[in-house]
Amino acid sequence: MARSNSKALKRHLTEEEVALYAEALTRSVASDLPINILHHVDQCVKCKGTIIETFSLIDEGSFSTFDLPNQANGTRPSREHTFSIVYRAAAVILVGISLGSLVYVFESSQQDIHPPHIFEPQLKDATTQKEKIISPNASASDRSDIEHSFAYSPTLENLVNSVARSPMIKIISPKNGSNVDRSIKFIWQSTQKGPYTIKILSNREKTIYNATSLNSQWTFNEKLEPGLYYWKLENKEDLLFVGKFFVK
Amino acid sequence: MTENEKDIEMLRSDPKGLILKYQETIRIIVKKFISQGLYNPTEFEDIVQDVNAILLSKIQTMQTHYNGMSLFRTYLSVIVRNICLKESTKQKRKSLVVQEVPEEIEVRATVDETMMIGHEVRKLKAILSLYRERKSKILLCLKLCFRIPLSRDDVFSWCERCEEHDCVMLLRHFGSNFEEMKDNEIYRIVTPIFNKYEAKTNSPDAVRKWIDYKIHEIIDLLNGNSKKRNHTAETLKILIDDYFSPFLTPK
Repeated sequence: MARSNSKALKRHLTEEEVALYAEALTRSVASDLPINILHHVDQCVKCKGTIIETFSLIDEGSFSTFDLPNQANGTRPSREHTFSIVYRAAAVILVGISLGSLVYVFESSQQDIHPPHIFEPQLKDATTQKEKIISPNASASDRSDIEHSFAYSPTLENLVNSVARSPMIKIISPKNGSNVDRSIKFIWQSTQKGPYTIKILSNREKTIYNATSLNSQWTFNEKLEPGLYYWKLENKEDLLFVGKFFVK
Repeated sequence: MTENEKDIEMLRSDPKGLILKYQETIRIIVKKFISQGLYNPTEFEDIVQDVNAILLSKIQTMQTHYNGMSLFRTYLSVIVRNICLKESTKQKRKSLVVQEVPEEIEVRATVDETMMIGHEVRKLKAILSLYRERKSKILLCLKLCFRIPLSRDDVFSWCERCEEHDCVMLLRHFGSNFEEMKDNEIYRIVTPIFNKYEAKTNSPDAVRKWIDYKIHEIIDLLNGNSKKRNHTAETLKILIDDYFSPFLTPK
């Protein structure tokens, strides 16, 4: 995960960053990784070695190379597991049909994803948030801080309420304007190609976290101060979604 | 729900079950290290158990650190790899040669050779990708080192703004068989061209040292932690040949 925009990381890659890079190599999308990770690896022989060994472990050819002593049937996987041309063609057709269906479903459910009249209910929701947070005994300055933390960002609010830029995205979690605790699961369905960048922004439009995911989900496990937060989902080409959530 | 989503859910609700689910992956990785001479093959089951015990103690760390950016299986592979390397250093196990591997846990050499070479070529391709902008120059230099004829694509991949007469000059010298040409002659010809387009003042010897260093680095990356050091400059040449072969296009 890249959390800064500096040119290169000042540390070695974490285990998950190594996994991310190795997977990106298998998918030939390494150039889409965050620039600070790319810069670090470019200069770091140790991280290069770790990535290549991981790549070697997950590379399909390598995994099928070794027999297992305790396999149920006691035999190693046969070459029949290798896809024949016919199987590949069938798989391509199936994937095509699935993608077509997915596009159809997304297009038909687009109205559900971004209802055009969402602005008013969300304002009410925010008022409720402030009422829950501010206790009657809070000092005037506490009240002011909390109110600032929950204040809307007009720019981001417009993006949240704008029509989706891509009809190919469906957000599963978190629900727009929902309350979240620790461990926020960001889950979406998209026909757009990854890797995806997830940005969490404060209500003052400052990017607090910036992560990259090859999958259509990411879990945020760290603590956020109470307040209103926005999040953006992007891929290399486009801003796919802007949402918001509250931390109590 | 995708397989990875199931894994993420299991990591939260049933982490032990998740480790159990990936026993096959763990065993494959341990075997790979045995095949590289890092462990004594007779200790296979013990090592697998050690890895499992350490994984169990790391459950909380995994729950905190794994964010779902990569597949869980890949993330676990990195962790198991790190555990294997750490344990091997800690216990100072002696490496044994493959001939001593007992039959029941032998890493069988029945794999189709083409598959094996295919894997190594993919690995080489992955290694070259790590060099990003310098990849094209390294490839061009590898071709020169291993006396593989250059093409126009090689030259313009290295430098898009290369002038036609420089490209023609390079191809005149290196566009067809130049096996007999000596190293110092090759570097004497290419160094001024490199310097011209990279705005440098390197000597032919400096360029030779640079590419020698890169070749050793690539060989080290291909060998990884294997104590058998399977790769040498000669095997690298074979892989480079395959890398450029129109009949064995790397994935």
